[in-house]
Amino acid sequence: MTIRGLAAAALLITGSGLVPPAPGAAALEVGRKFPQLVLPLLEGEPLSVGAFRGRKLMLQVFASW
Amino acid sequence: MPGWHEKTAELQAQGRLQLAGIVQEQHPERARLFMLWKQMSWPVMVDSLNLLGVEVVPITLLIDEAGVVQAVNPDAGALERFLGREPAEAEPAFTATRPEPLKQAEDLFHWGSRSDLHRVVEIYGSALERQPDDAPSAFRLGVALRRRYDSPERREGDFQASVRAWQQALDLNPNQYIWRRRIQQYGPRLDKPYPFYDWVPRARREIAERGGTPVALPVEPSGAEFASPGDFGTGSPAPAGEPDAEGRIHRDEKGFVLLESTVVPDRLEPGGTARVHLAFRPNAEIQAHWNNEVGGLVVWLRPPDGWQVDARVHDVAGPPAPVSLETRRVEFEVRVPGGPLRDEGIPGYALYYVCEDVGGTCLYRRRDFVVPVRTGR
Repeated sequence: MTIRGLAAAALLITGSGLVPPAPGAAALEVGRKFPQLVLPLLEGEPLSVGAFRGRKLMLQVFASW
Repeated sequence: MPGWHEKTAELQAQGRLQLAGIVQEQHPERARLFMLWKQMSWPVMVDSLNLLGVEVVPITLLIDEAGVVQAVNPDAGALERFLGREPAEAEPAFTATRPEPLKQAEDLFHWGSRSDLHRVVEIYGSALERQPDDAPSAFRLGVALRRRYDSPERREGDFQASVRAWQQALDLNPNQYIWRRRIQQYGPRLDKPYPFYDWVPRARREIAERGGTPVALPVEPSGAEFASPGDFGTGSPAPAGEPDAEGRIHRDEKGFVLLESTVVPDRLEPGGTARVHLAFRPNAEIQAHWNNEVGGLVVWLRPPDGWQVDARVHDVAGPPAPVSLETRRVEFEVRVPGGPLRDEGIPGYALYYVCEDVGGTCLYRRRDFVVPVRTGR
């Protein structure tokens, strides 16, 4: 799926009226579902990690500094 | 992170693994430049507000096809096992809810216009009034204030207010290193764990050398963000060569140039060090602009007895154009003496060449100022 496709999937999530949770660090425990948080991509379009369902994902939480 | 990128390139090409990122930065365009430099093209989301709640970076997560977190900061063996594993049964997602106004603030911050930042600031400010120990709202208020400071919607004091809000958040949760980094980013060298954006010039050079175009940064890293950790400096130089020791230059009574000062951290304890940011802007209301034909902006500092600044004189050259409108920035570090302190200021003055479109006059002017410094807790 392209970034554009992923963004479209995220829009579907936001459009569905689901309110993304405010997860907190507890959300990142092994065995829990990753929170359905919709965030802007660096290019501006919305995306949720939920858009990667059905694929194995390595997610990097980082800063460039 | 680039290490994982290289190790997983083949897995990505085979379609066995997808990479994505979430960046925890105030200025996300810098992450775009970083990604371009490192030639990493996977999708990266921006979480400047720290909605994810992580306290440190970097964190690597392995998430399976059902959206379940399977590993945190895995080694190569854990990645191998993850790739061969079927999706697992999951504990439900963490579903803490938050009041609708805060949700609105997040939406406006992410998807609204620049003018919506006023409402974002208002919402987080109100949340803090209702609940002063709401640390995440204090941090997010700081993020929104700094974002507004970097926009044409800026209000005087926004940068200082953002530092104050971040400090409030950190006082409530001193273990939150993402929040701590936000202050250190703009703060003094003594507090820095590393230089934050010293890689930017190299990234630009290397992207250009391979024929690319570096990502334009709407907010250039400031001196604080390039500065290396280290000592305070060699002490205050002797005040020889003061440019207007007798105060003979006419004062800028018309307000051709506006000054905003920010002190990071917001409060200083005895013996502490702070980084001071001065921003000089031509006053748009009277259509003032810099005159670059003679010289640049000079700042001279007169710290109180016992206080040290790392340099007393600062010189900012203008661009190679006869006139210009840019914001001219000066940064310096100050160390206050040990022992009891009271709120005080750092006096100084700026000398500059300015013109006014309305009257068509160009003048050399002096502006005296005192940078307010808060002390104690």
